[in-house]
Amino acid sequence: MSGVTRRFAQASGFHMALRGVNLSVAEGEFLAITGPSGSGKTTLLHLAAFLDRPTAGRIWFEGCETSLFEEEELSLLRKHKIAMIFQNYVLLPYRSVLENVLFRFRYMDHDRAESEVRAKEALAKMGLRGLEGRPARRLSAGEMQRVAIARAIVCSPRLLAADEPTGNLDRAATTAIMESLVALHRSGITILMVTHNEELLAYATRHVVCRDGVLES
Amino acid sequence: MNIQAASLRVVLQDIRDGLRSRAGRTALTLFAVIIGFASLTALLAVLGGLESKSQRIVKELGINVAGIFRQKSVDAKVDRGLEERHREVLARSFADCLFSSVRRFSVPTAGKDEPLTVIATDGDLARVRQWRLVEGRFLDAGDVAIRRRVAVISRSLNGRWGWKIDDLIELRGALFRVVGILDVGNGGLDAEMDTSPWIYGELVVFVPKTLGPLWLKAWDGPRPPVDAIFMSVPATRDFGQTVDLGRRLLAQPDLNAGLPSWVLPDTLRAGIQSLEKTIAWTGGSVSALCLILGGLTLMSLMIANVRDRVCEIGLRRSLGAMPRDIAFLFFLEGELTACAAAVIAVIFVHLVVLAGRLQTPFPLKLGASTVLVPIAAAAILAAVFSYGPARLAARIMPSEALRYE
Repeated sequence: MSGVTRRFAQASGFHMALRGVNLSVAEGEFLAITGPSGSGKTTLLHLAAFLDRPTAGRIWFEGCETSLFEEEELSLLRKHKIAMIFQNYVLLPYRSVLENVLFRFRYMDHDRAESEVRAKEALAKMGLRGLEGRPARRLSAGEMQRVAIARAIVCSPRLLAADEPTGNLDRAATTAIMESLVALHRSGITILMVTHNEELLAYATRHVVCRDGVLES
Repeated sequence: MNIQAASLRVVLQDIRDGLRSRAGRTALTLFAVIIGFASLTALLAVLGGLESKSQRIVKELGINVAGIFRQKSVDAKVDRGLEERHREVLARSFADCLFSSVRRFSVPTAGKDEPLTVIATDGDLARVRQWRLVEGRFLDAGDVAIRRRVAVISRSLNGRWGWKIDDLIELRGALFRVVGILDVGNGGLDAEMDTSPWIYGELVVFVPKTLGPLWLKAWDGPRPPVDAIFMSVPATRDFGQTVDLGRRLLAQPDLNAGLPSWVLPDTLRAGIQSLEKTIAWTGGSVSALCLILGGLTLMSLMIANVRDRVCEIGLRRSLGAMPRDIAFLFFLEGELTACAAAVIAVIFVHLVVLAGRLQTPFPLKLGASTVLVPIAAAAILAAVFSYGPARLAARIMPSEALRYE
């Protein structure tokens, strides 16, 4: 990212969420972003995951400058190369655990049988073997987040953007989730994680602090 | 479009999840939309019934057939009205046309609840009215000339009372031999019997008109009155012009025919069409209001669904869905909801109509139009009222959507 600014219109004028942010993330890195509420962490993560466009500045992904990308091209990046994990999991409550993981393929051309095999492997990696048929609404918070991670990794993304992945979890579940993320990182996935919890910084390879829309190393 | 990659099953699963998670709200919306489409289906059934009735009544009178009916005189002392001699005058003037005169009586029958309609006529009535002979023969000139005690019965009498050819039947104490069975083609038009003098219902017997003096006092006298004269105009003649000439002929003062009423296929059709138009406007307005209210309810359901599913929209966008995929999802959801409501309404109205068909005081007709029009209207209604919510959903930015909770 180079000179990235993100401004939001508000009733009282404009809110500057990010002010000329410069950030470089190397392939295979596990970067933790911390900072107080409203400092611009989530905005930065959304921009990195191409869920939003900067008001000014440029973003590169694998050597490509993306500011001129059409929505279709950004959508392809999100579909094939980037995965997101959310604080509130965003699962489909009426669908089974397996169907929630398979939902990752909803907007892709895919072979159903092959996708099922991969989904089951991802669930097994997250320690959820045997829960494939259970409706998502009947899971514990920790299990829900592990399903969300399985959904994120099932199609082997290059970048995993995690927004407060342990924000709603107890200590044991937090440890389990973080160990899962570390394992994913070791398998070669680049991870960007936004968190409030300074205890989690130990799991990351690098740490930046976001304050008032500006990054501090 | 990405939707191409997903099978129909996946799309339907998406929609089912969306509707199932808000089952109460969806049920209320369905109910509101069903009311609109039920009213539309019922209106179409009534209009179809009237149109069908119009065609049947015109067919019943006969193609290119005019009916001339005696007008009931307000002053009983005035000796004016249709008589047998008027048929003779018309027949002499229009030699290539067929004429038949009738008198109509209601005759109680021993052991039966329903009275018979007895039509005293000549040998030409079946040909003039274009009725089909089922068995035996119709009355002929010989029957009329020598006053033979023969009768032709309707097919309904044959079926319901078991009367058949060569049976002897008793009418006002006199015995008649059945010589023919006729399909008078007015089944289902019984409701018209009291008001339409050319429709005889189902229980009808035809006897020679000259038998009158033997068992009906009314035929006595030098100038026997008739209730109606039917005139069949051949295709080679101009029907309207012939009727006009006939009117002018009977209007001559020396014929003393009074002012008989002329019933023509066009006048029958015009009467029904006027009724159809009135029902179409009043019923149509009610249906349109119900449909608009249903559409607005559908729209509010869709807007509420979009608001409730903002996070899901964000998830879908993060998985690579394009705005058009999101719009398509909600558009299809609206279409399916409205079409499902239309199908339920169509089935409901059809069942009600079929269950209560014999009791309805007005004609109803079910057919392709009562099925296809409501479903097509549902597709259009949903397209109009889902467009806004679908567009709203498509315009939600993924980053905003994911912050929503």
